[in-house]
Amino acid sequence: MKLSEKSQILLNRYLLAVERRLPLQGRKDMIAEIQANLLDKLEDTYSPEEVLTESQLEAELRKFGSPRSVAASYHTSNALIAPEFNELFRLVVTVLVPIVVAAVFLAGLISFVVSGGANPFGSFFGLMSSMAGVAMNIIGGFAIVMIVITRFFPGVVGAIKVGFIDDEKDDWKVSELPEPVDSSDRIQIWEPIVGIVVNSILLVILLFLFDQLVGIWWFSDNAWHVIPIFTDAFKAFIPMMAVKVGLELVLNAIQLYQHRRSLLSRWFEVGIKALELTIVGLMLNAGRLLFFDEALAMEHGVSTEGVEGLSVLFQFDFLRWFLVFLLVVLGIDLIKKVVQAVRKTAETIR
Amino acid sequence: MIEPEVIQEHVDKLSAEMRRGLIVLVVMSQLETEEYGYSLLKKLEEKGYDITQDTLYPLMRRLETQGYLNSDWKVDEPRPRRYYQLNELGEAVLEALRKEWKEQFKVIEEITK
Repeated sequence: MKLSEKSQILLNRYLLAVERRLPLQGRKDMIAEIQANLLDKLEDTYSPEEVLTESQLEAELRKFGSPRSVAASYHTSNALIAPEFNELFRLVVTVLVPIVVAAVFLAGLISFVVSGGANPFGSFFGLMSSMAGVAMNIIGGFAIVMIVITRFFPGVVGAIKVGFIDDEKDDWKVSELPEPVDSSDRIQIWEPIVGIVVNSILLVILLFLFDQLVGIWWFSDNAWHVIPIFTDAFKAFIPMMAVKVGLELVLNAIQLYQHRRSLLSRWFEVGIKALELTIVGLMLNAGRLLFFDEALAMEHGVSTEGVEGLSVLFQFDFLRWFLVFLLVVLGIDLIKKVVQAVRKTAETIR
Repeated sequence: MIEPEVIQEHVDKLSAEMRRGLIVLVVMSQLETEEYGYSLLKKLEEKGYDITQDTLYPLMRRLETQGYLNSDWKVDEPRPRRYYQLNELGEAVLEALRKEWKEQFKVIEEITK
């Protein structure tokens, strides 16, 4: 079998296309072997005197396979990221990213408090985008490093071993296995996390930024203004509210640590609900809680119609009605929680 | 009633999976004497074992990387060719695999009869 000039060019082009897709390590050796095997096949198919035309060779090459498929068979895996990185990647996504995002959240909160609550909307969206950005940067950056290692340094992949992950996988004790969790005790991991985020923000607002942030927000003269609406009688309850929010934070932390509702967290929750009910009850007897300052509203650019409308709303004393409603709802909820806690306690004693 | 073509499609898929597990044994058993890629492909074809070049050639390289085969480029022929042959470890492993296969065959035959 001989190759015509055009056939030889076609063969060279085919081999070049295969070579470009082969793994970098040992590429020259692989392509030499592929060429040898291909020529062996052609020699076996055609007589020694026959000159192979371009179209005959093309047909043979098509039988041999596309350059992509021939090269693909020499890759041990076509994964963009080697499976060996899976555990390490999981560790980054589930442990490192949450820690860094939590740190960014804390730093943003502190900087917001230090700034005296300036530009609350901008700060909030800025903080959210920073948290999302940092998470994506870590995950994306790590993925790029792993893709580069997988593609260009496959030898390194085999050498990578995350020792403590392997140890953890192999070494386990019966005593360390989790206790079976009743479906009523189960909590989703995101519940305490969301609770911690929301309660942290609430606590910061209650303790440091109540006057700056809480009230009616009004946009005029290209700026946002706050018109305070809460009286000193209401503000007298802020320390109690802060204690209640702080206790909820503790409850969230306990639930996050235990990954379930325990007897302790159930009774703790009953205590918090009782405190909440007490605060609402005391508020109902505390006199005037809201006051709409019409002069201040007009000073901040609220139109006369707007001021009139808001005054009517405030005369209706909607907060008191809301507190009555809250008292009923919280009362029912407290009874439910007490019943559940008592039942669980009885089950535990049994 | 299930169409015979549908059944055949499933059988093809499952039997390919079954064969995949035995390819190493088949290839190693033919490399007690030295062979180059195409010669082994022909040898297996002649014996009725259907294997594609895409599977065979990379597998020979992989078995060499795993330490079961030695390979050598021979340049004294009209064209250079790479020859593969079992080394000492490969021979020992092949012997053990043969034994394992015979035992498994007996068990599976007993289970599936």
